[in-house]
Order: sequence, then C-alpha cells, then structure tokens
Amino acid sequence: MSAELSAMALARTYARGRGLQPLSTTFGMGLTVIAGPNGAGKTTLLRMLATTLHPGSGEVHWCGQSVTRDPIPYRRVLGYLPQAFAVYRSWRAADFLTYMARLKGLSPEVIPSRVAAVLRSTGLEGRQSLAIGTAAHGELRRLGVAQALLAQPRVLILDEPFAGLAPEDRTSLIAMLATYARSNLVLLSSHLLDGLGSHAARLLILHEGRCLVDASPPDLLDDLGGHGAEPAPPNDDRMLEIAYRRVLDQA
Amino acid sequence: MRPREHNSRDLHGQTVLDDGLGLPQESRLARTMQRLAGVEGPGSEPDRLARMLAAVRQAQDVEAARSPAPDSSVTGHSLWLAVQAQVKVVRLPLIGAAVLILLLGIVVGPLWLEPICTPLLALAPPIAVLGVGYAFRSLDGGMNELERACPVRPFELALSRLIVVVGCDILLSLVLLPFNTGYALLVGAGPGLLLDWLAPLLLASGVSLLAIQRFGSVLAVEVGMMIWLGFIALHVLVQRQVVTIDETTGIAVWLCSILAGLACFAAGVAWFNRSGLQGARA
Repeated sequence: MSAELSAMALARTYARGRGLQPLSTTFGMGLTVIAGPNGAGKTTLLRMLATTLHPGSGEVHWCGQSVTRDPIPYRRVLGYLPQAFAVYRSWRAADFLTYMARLKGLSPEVIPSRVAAVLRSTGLEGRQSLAIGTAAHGELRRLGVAQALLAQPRVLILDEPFAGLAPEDRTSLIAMLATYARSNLVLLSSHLLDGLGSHAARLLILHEGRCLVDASPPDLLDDLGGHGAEPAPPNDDRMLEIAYRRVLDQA
Repeated sequence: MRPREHNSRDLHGQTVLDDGLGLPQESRLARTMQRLAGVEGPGSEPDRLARMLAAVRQAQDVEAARSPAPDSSVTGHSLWLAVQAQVKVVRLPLIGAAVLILLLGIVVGPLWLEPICTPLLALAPPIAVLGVGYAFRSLDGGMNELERACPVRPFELALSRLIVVVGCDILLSLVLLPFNTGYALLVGAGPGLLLDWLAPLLLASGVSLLAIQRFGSVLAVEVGMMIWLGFIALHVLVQRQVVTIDETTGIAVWLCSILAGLACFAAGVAWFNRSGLQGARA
C-alpha cells in the first residue's frame, strides 16, 4: 500500500441512463489524464473521487482507507475543480479565493500571500480585483484551478481545466500541472490530448460509462504500432491523439 | 515538560493517541514495522538494507499523505472562522441594511404599523427568511460543488450561515425590544412580548431552510413569506376580534410554532450535513 487513491468497483447510474459502469483502478503519484467524449462518464468518475457525488455502488479509498464514511480528512488533502461551477457574480477574484481559503482551513495570516501565489501560478498575477461578473470563461477556469491549488493539495482533481483556454494559456497550465504532479497525485479530464501526452504518466479512455483503455501513453502508442501504423516515438502527442481516436472508433 | 497529548479519531472512528500532527503514533509505527517485515528475503546484506530503506521511504510517503493537513498553513476550522467566512457570503452592506431597516422600523413603525401588527413582527421574520434564502443561495448553483469538496463540516457551514442571518436578526430584535414603543399595549406584557415575533421568525425561516434544499432559494423564500403573512393575518384577526384566542391558547400556539421552527432547523442542518458528507444523490 502506498499514497494511492483507489476506486473500488465504483459505479453510478442515472435515471436517464449511462453514468459509470463498475470501475476498479488505483491512481498513484503523477499526472493521470482521463479522456473521452461527452457522456463518457469522466465527470461522474471525478465527482465520485472528489466525494461530491454519492457513488451508486463501490467505494473510494485514500491510502487504503475508505473516504465514503467520513470524507473530511481526505478533503483536507484534496483540491478539486468541478466541470461546472459558479461564483457569486458580485465578488472579485480575491474575495472568492479568500472565501475558499477559509473553507479549506488556511490560517488567516497566510491567505493573502497564498492567494497571490496561486494567481501567479495560473497566469492571473496581480488580478486580485478581477470582477467575477465580467470575467471571461478562460479566466474563470484559471480562477477555478487557482482555488484548487490553495491548500497545496496532495490530490488534485481537475475536470476539464483547459476548457475555454487560449492555446498559450493551455500550454503554460499543462507545464505547471506537470511540475505539480511530480510530487502529488493529479487527475484531470480532457476532451483533447493535445499537449498532454508528453507529461501524462497514465491515460484512461472512457466511453459510454466503460473504461476502454487504462495504460501509459507509451504503451498505448506501442499498441498502435502493433496494429500496422508507423512506429511512434514515445509520448508523441500527435500519435497519441490518433491512438485515442482509433480507440474511440473501435468502441 | 511533557508535550500535551490530544485525543483524536482516525478514519475508522477509533479514538487513538495523537502526536499533535494528526498522526496516530501507534498505528503509524505498526504500519512501518509491517513494511519492514515484508522486505525479509534472500539477497546480500546491502540488498536487504536497500530494500528496507526503500520501505521506510515509502512508509514516510504514505504517512505524509495520510496527514490531515500536509500544508502547515492549514490550521483547521472552528465555528467562529466559518462565521467570519459567511459574513463575506452574506455581505456586510446587506447585514448593515437589515440592521438599518429594523432600527427605522422600531423608530417610525409604531406610527403606521400599530393598527396591523408590531414593528418586530412586520420586519424581523421577513429579514430572517430573506437571509436564509440569500445565505444558502449556493445550493442553487455550482458554488455548492466547490464547497462540498472543502474539509469544513457541512453542519458547521450551515450553522455559521444561520448564525449570521437568523442569529443576528434575533439578537438585534431582542436588543430593540425595550425600545419598541407601544409594544406592550398591543401584545401585552409577559411571554407575549417575546413570542409575538419570535415564533413566526423561527417557523418561517426554519421551513425555508428545509424547503431550500429541495426546491431552491426562490421557492423557499416564498414559502417562508407565506407563513409570515399567515401570522400577520392571524394577528389582525385577533386584534379586530374576528377570532378570539384566550391567552393560554395563544401562548400554546406560539410555543408550538417555536418548537416546530426549531425542529425544522435541526432537520435542515442534519439534511445539509448528510448530503454534504455523502455527496449529492443526483
């Protein structure tokens, strides 16, 4: 056993269908990317791992202990960005981050410096007075990532963190997350693998609630090479995208 | 001096000795020993030592991850800190506006409210109902998803909001009670002085709290307002002697309303806590 986050037969169905079929897997330190089209079950999986959605069945374990009964200790080491979140429109960025820092239990003395630090790391340096009501979608996503980083979490779960980001912002955010994942567990979902292949330690591809692939990018590329395609260099983003598309086509 | 020891609970709810860092010493040592026992096996002495070193490092990693607050800046929560955070949600200008309205109501209210009801009955309950709707408005949107993932206990979050909106309203009303001119003439002295506005306040805002979790803030405020208007209607009917309620029955009605309101608060907080801990059902 090590510092791991485990999904144990984790499943969820909705009245309208789909959701997530039973999934058992373990996430270790490093960057794990969960990819899949709309309705694949990415958000359902991440919400259950973040303890904000009650699992239909199964359990989530952190360091070998269930977080289903009492999630509070686990939430102390968790940073989470939901796919959809709303912030009170009358607030400014600093108000929002200060409020979240208080809910995360940060001591009042460190909050201003921590707020400045997370704004800097997400490309919003000096934007404490950014009005939420008039912020662009990309700025809100970066603000969402910033609040997830406030308590320097051991487990960082980000649902579509790159949605609405400009290409250069996406690249810098990927680099920041890759650095953070060196000593922490980072789970993120994305429609596109562009730019992620060279940083991801592991890739899960979900489709209609099922896990089609759970492999490292090099393994997935090897598999692609084994199907008659040209040999791919390890962690090649373009080839990884092709492999991802092929997996979805075959599903 | 011997360091102070704390009692704490581990993830299984067992009370264990705590070293002050949130790590139960006995179970931590036991787990590390288990790891070391598992590295016995064939191989040279340097190999065995290397395996043991790797096992200890892995144990350190696990224990660091298990620590409830790996970030030393995380000091934990208290109800007071949660209340401070909620003042931001409710916003100081709105709290100030509510105080001003109550003060004005006490000063000028008796002039034009006396034929209908007392100033506190006219103002305190709707302020509490609106406050509940406003403070819990995150349940309507995606902010709730962010709050659920935070380590603050959901009942503390709910209680802190209620302290800011309902608690402050009650406290201010109690402070203003002696200045409520003409109050005793309308409702008489004794318990009626208090029950006249407290019962509708608690029942209306308590029901709003219950309703908000199921139906959203707008409908919950509407329901609370209807209850408040019902009390005003009853008050007017009694004043005009359309309905006759003797003193004992009146006090019983108010007391039942207060108990029902408190029960709604308890149920609302318990529901909020349960859904916050277990995650959303939908």
